[in-house]
Amino acid sequence: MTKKGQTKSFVYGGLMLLLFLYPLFMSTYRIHLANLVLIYVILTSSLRAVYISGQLSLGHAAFMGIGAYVSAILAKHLGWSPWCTIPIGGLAAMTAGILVGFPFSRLRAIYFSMASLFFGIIITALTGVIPHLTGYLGGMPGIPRLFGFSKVPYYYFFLILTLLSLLVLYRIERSRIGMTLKCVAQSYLAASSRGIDEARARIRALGIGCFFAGLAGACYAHYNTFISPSNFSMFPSIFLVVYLLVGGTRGFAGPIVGAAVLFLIPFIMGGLKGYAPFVLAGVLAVVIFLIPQGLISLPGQIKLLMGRPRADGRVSQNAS
Amino acid sequence: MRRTGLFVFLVCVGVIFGVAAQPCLAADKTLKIGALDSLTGFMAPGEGLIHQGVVLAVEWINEKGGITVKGQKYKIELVTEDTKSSGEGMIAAANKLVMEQEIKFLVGGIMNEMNAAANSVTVPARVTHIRHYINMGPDEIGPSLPQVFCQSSAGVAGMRVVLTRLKETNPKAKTLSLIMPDDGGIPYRKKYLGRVADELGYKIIYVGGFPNDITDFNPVVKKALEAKADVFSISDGWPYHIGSVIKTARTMGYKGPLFATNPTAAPDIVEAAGGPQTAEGFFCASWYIHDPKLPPIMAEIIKRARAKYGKENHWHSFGFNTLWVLTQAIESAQSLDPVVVAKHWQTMKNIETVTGPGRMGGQKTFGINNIICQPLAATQVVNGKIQDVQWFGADHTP
Amino acid sequence: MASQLAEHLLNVLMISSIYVLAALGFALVFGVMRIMNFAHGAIYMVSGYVCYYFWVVLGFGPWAALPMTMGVMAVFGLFLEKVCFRPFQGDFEKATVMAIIFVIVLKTGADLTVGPFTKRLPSMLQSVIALGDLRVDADRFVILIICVVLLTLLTLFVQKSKIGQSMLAIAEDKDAAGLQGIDINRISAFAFAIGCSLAGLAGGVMGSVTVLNVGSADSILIRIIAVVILSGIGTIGGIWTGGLIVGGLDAVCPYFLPGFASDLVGFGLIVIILVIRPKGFFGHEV
Repeated sequence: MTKKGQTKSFVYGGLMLLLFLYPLFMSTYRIHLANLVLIYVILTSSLRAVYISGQLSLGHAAFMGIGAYVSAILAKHLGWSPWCTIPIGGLAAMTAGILVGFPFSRLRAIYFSMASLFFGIIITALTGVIPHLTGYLGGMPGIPRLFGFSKVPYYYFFLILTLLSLLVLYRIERSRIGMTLKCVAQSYLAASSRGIDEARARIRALGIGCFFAGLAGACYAHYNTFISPSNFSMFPSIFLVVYLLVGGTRGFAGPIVGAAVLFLIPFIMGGLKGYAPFVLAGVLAVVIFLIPQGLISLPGQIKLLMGRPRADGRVSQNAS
Repeated sequence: MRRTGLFVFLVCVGVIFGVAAQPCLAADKTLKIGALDSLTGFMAPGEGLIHQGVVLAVEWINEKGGITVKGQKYKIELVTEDTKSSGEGMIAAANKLVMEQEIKFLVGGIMNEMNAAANSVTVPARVTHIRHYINMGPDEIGPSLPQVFCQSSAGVAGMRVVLTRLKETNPKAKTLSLIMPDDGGIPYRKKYLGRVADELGYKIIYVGGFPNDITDFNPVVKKALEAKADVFSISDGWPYHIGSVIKTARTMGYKGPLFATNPTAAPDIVEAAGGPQTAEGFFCASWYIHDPKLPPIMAEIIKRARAKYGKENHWHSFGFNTLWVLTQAIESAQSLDPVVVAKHWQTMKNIETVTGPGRMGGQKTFGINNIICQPLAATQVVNGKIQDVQWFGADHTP
Repeated sequence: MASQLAEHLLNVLMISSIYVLAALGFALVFGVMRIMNFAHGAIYMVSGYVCYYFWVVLGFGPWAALPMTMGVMAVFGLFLEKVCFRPFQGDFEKATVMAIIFVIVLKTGADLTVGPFTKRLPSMLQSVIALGDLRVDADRFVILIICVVLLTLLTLFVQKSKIGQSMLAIAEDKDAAGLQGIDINRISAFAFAIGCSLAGLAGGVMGSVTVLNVGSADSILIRIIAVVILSGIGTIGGIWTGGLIVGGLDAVCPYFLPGFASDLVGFGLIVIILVIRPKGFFGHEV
């Protein structure tokens, strides 16, 4: 293994160790925050899965909602175990994504984005069709928990789920399917000239992304024990998009960094009470003006600033 | 040399006195109470004022020396978190107070959605929580929630007061048309208000809902008036809702009786309706803070509200009440254990409220004795002025 | 029966005209800069409060306060364009994030300052017009007239004046317009200024019909976007079509359908139209 590879393994290994030992030296509240972050990491990464096919969905939280409501209703009203209903929630969201994909995948990027805005509203309205099951605007309390009252088992469950989901999404992105999607995003003319069915690829992307969104949503439902349509409406969707874009769209780690950092800012700044959102706005402004490639490009940018360019174009820490 | 010696001697004296003085300085301990109120969002206009009332109560109690439990005096430290007018916000705020700050007593909560959401945090943590208001849902109050209290039984109390009054002013009226916010609480209001109406011989022939973010009241009011009931009424909603409804109904030509069942702010309603002429005749089951018949605490609240906020408001007394009765319960139970306080609270026979002597109620209605029943009045706009035309006792919620 | 119909019609027209006013600003910006100004709803919301300030606090009364609000928002629009959106022209993603930043700032600012106080703008004309069986608020009538007049003026301006035609040119084909010597930055600034001042009027006027609250930002934004999508990108005169549909649905559905159903029907319909005809009724291909 190269020296660089070794360093990388050490770093990742260390990170894994820290992640697994986290609950041992963190307060209940911090574990709770970590749980939420993990869910949002899955969500934002699932948004990326849709994004790489050239579609920027402004209604992704709606699919989180589908997963959440399906799982919650099955568990609360039919008494099924959350272990069963969570995957079902994911599958329900995936089905919805595919169904929605059929008419919408024909739309050009901007029209798709605009149409997706309305998903959230329609999902909210749909919960009104069966208010005795969903509680409609009042929300749905009393969702069966996955574990007991302690936050720690949730942490490990979400951690493992997140790692697995990220692994799967990463492999898909690197695989043939992923390449196809990226191709379609770049140029539909070129893609179709290679025999790639654009619509099919897009629907696939939607299906994959929505599955994980639904999964995350269902997990959230059984963790929070309370969901309401406001969790899945327009602004949560837009915030997911912001996490993705500001985290960085060039790399797989973009949504992970974006979700983890940006989601936590209002909580970290909790001491400022009502003024906390200003800090978030400030951070966002700093990033889009000064770090246009997103947060994940930060290490790269710092390296550039610190090092000197060599004749062969590489940048190193030492003068050569 | 001598000066150094003197200096050292003085320092020692100072240290000894300082150490001796410590127990006196540490005589005051604090009890943290959490406040879950919406300071932003659509509930903020009302809940913000209610929260101000809670703050006034804390100041008043602390100025009196705080509360005394088992011989130790405690000042109250109010820790506030913004619930942002949503279930989500409520959960985040409750998590912060309960998990991060480890607070055992909470005040706050009005809407059904938010109350139910709060329970998911407070029940596992065995925190004793008193709400400002409820929408009477089973996930808000009931035998499965022994540590959840409320300082109002909402429509149950209000309907009883209002209909009793109606019997005297409009004895021929028999049917009601009722509108209410579409916030998830409609089935519960239907159930409980319907029961009270049946008991008193009235029939609710129309129930309509309006969304929380309603801008145009015309369709809602129109449909309600088309039912041609004897009485048009509204249950819950903030003063600007109620006032707008009054204005719309009168503009449409409705001339019959109009009432609200909630203990709301009549002056604000009159303002929102566009003036006392439009609101003439309207009444609600509430109290008018300038009513001379109210106990002296009300004057105290008004004085403090003016001093701190510049202007007094009905909601100040509303929030004040919530915190005050909680501290009474803690002092009466002589314990800081929330479970012990809750158990004791349910058995209290007398509890003082901002409108006079009250009692615990709700056993028959909700299955648990966790409602603080306070005397209510029929507050009406008579000849352009707001008056408490008839006072009812605290026996409105069995 | 006839009076009911007439009342419905008036309601539809009034609500539609407010939506059209608000949507026009959004559409102008979208057409010229190809950016979805998500902050437009928040601007509308803030205008209501600005109008309140001029009308009630400073005591200028409606007929002076409305133009002043429009003026203030126009200046704000210029600032927005120059500082916030010009750097991100054409970059849909970055501009979206920028707009969201503004929404956060405006909404939080409003929450912290005026949020807890419900304000209601007084009636402009404290009277009720009675036409036969029909009883309507004189206010709504006046609003309708103001909106129609302004919209007509604006449509004429856009179609006849040089600036207006430049806007249409840029909306149709940006590069060609640039080649023709049109100063895109200047025209964009104009578009923003006009757009924000229209939102200012809409917000101020709507404030006297209903109450001012911070939440109005979200609900108006989704309706504005629906209007613009239905009408199509790049059209100004065609906004009325979208406006009438969305306004009509909003005015009529609550009478006949319970809350969620009217949302479902309304937005479901819009989505269906979008799928069948993404360009909208009068739009150009993007």
